[in-house]
Amino acid sequence: MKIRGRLVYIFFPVFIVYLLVLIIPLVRALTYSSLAEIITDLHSGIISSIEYTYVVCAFVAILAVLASLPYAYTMSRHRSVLFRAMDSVVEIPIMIPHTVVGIIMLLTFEPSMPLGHLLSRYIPGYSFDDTLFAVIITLFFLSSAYSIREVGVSYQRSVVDYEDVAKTLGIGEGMSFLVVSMRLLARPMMKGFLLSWARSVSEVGAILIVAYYIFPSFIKLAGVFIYSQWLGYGLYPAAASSAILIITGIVITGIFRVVETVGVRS
Amino acid sequence: MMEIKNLHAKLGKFELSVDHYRTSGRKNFIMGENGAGKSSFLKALSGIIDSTGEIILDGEHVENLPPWKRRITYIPQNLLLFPQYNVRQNLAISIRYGHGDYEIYREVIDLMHLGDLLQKNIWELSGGQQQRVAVARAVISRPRILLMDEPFSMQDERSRMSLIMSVADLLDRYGIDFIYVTHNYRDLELGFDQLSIMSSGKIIESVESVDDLRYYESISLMDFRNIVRIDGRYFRLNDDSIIPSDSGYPAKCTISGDRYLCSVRIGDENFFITSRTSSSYFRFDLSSAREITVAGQNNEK
Repeated sequence: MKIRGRLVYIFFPVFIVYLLVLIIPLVRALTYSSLAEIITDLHSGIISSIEYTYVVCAFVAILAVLASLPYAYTMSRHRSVLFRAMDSVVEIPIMIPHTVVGIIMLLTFEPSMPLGHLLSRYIPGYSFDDTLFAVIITLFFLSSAYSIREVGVSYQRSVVDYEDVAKTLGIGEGMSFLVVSMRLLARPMMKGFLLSWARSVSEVGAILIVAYYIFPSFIKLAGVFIYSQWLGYGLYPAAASSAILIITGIVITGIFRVVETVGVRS
Repeated sequence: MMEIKNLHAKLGKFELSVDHYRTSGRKNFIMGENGAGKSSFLKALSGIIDSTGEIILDGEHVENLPPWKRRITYIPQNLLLFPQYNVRQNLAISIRYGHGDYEIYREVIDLMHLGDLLQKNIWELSGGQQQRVAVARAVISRPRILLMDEPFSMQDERSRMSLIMSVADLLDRYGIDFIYVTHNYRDLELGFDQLSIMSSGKIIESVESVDDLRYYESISLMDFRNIVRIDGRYFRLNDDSIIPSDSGYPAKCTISGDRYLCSVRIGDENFFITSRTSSSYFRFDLSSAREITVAGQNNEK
């Protein structure tokens, strides 16, 4: 006989309510527009905007994962108060309002600002706002924490011990990291990539400030595109574009889950 | 032979401080309570954690060498076989990327009966098979000394002792000295060249026979029974010094073989004694008991 504790009667309704809070808005977004409206909206430019967004965000996520490896390695070998304090910096971008992040980026990288001025001296034709560089650095600032935490936690929790044992087997430092740690970190890296990518795709506030259009193509990231649709044409086209963005996002996340699961099995 | 002088390491609030330690012969055992610093000591020797002091291996100072150049292989309690590789790849990893030996690889596979396991994934192996693979992987890497941090502790006693025997034979074949950490005194019954006792991050004594142990911390690890603390002094009791009585220290006894195992309350502590007869109270004739020194107190003197 299956015996259930009493807690299930408290937790299960909360669990259901939580799922409904997530699912109802998504279902509403996907069903608000008719199929005809969605098909018509495919020609609005949302597809090219989504493609561009996904590629740029994938590039940013790759950068975040690449940054997470040396970061995790360094942090796992330095436990001093100073390094722990530095480690807490990683989460700061997550708590800053996104419009403020946009302002911060302008204050840092605009050619009229000290660092931006320095860059403009060495990079011919340097400019910041409405450039791809502005998009990448802003998204990286906002999303790298997710990769760094995902990879860093896995590395410090277990992978570093495998690496240490490999070293005592006579395997050099770099090779231990490469053939032992990197292989063990494949899954966290993939998960970190997906989290950073998803976070970048969802960003609007900071991008509105640093790159409403991206020169020279005048393309807009998907979030900005939908926002401008809503401002210019109202709810209907914005809802149809939102449905397209959500569907593609679910498909990509699903593919990642499958690859991750297959990867774990193999 | 390995010799250590003034080895110090700090891990959070824990401090490892070994003034002097020298292996003697092939089989070196280290015992100590949980948290005594045994694992930290082995990690410091292998170079996994930072330490200061001198580590001399066969006359060569290795303390400034990185772990991969020391030729001191470490097997942790959880073995840490690489899960992304199969058994063959685990065994051969030091041949491919380190200073492992292919001839030893071939011999060890035969000697440890690993031939049928080579293509298996790590998670397909039983606990005992994983332990054999971990030892084989270490031996193939051609260490000058092998450090084993209770790698067989998850086995039942018979299997564990059998494994220790076969590993000792294997290491003898290749002339590899080893340091084996354990907290089970039964492991010593297989014989050892040197037994060292760790307590509070220090090696308090090293002996060639259990009978030579002097300190309370050491003797109580072998057998905690018949040791009592009275007025801050520790005594090892014998049959003559244990006196069942109508008054004295209160006790509760249960039968254990042909004797009684009694828990005796002395002050705020419980001690365990063995007695020929059951009693609710015991007195102790300390004149016929042996006083045991506490390592920390001895150092202060």
